[in-house]
Amino acid sequence: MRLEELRGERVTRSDGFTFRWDEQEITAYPGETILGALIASDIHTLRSTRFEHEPRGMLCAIGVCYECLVNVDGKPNRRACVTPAAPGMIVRPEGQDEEMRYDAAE
Amino acid sequence: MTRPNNPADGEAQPRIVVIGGGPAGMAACNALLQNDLPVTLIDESNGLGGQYYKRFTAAADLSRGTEIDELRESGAEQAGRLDDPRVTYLPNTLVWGIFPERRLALYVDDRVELMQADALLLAGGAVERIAAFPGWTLPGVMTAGGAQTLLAREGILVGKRFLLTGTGPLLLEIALEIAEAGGEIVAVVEGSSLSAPVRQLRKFVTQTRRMRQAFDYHRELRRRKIPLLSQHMIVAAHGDDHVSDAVVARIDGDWQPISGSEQRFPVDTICLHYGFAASTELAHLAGATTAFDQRYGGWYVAHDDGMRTSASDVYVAGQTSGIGGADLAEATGRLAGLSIAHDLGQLPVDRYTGLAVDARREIDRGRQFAEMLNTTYTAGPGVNEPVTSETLICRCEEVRAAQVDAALAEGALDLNDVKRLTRCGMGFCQGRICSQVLVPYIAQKSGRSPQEIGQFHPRPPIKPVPLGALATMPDPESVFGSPEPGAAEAAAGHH
Repeated sequence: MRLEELRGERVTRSDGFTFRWDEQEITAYPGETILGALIASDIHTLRSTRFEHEPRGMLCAIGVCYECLVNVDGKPNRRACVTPAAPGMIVRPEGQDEEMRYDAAE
Repeated sequence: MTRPNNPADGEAQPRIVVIGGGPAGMAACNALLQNDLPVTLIDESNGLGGQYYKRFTAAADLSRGTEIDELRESGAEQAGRLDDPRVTYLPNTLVWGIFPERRLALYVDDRVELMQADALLLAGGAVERIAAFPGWTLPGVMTAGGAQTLLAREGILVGKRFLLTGTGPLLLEIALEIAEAGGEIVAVVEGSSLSAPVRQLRKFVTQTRRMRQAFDYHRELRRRKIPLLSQHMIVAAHGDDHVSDAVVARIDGDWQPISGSEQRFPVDTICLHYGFAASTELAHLAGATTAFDQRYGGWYVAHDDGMRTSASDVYVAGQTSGIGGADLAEATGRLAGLSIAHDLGQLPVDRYTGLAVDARREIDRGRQFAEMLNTTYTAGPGVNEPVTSETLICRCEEVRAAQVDAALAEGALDLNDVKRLTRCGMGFCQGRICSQVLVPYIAQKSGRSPQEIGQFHPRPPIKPVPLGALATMPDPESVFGSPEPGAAEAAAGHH
């Protein structure tokens, strides 16, 4: 949920934009990460795991745990929590392809 | 902004590199600037302040005169002082390797660059500790710091009904921030007993700000009617593709769950926080020795009383030199900056000694308080009791506890044996998460000490670097010169 107010102060956001998440249009605002925009749209599962296809969502939000890996404009294994959302981006959940390997990341 | 690599300019100034732009790194840079030394500041994120000051950046144009505002201003002021032509600031830059003679490998803008550091300060901070239990990989289970980051950085609340669990004062702080933002807190679940820290706090009556903070948190929790369960911990999370409830049990002094005491809470978000672990990977690569001491929060980078590590011209500051608060981090950063200036001949011994005494006094004060927190708020041996053979230990490589048990049965003695036999720690996060779980797990199963279990041996790249970026790496000789000075001339002489 996007807050209108934080610690008694109004949160100001400039004009929003959209990007694609699978088949969905997601609204985001400048300063938001892909993770933030997805969570604000109530999307919490960002990928499924390679071996057991279990759902995974955010864990650390600071780029340490690599749980929130998504495919951004064809680039695999980008961390949603440290990648700024941008207009027109095409973001897909990671783990749909077999080649999700850290040594094959490009 | 100056380009990081320019070996041809032949500048006489040694290159001082600070890794990490949090409280410690910023304080070190300021100390260096005061001694008229230029500095290169590298930070993995897009802004200064580290995880500490970044919590206070939201809605920065408004103020209401609270302590949070003071902290926000203090962070902004320190960052502002680094807006100086003598500072080469490299944001969004990952140091993924350190090779002999402090040769750094950087990853920025999908490129790899190399840089020589003549003096190097490691101030990369810490990671939040978590614990494993059945269901801990479900979406909706996250670190408390992660929920706080989204709240402060983006003004986004990650859920509606929260349970926070683990140990330490940060749990209370984050619970109150979430409650203030409109989240419902069904419980704050603290593993330690409430009386232990209160008894300890009497030693710190002179540290009024900290005393006030501790009491304010408790008063505010009561005012908001948020249940605080002490000597309890989470034993399971349930849900299909998202967490739907948390099971909490009472624990004894060793954190062993007491059977029959389980309570179930319907929630959509579980926030975990078990303290912090120093990020020591770069220190290992730089050849600096690490040490284990619970009073320092576990493993940390060993240093002398001037923040010098065992590796030549490599210094350490902040959480990486021992877990403590931001005040302590700043003091260690300042001392490290002074030591670098002194060791480079820029700060005469009499002035250095005087300034260092002041910094050390502040460090001693901060360290005493940090030691109290690090020993009071630490998970006991029973923390892994809820783990079953099916529970994932390594989330990246999907290694279950049964596989770790098998490795131990095969004779694995330490963390690196378990890594070789199970792939724990070989995935994307390079063991940053599973080591938090594995060390107490192996200790409990084998009776060995954390020192014997050791740390993962980090190898470059310490975080994933795409192959395409590695292909852009410049020729090391073009950056660092010939491997042995004079070798090229000697070879030329033979022709």
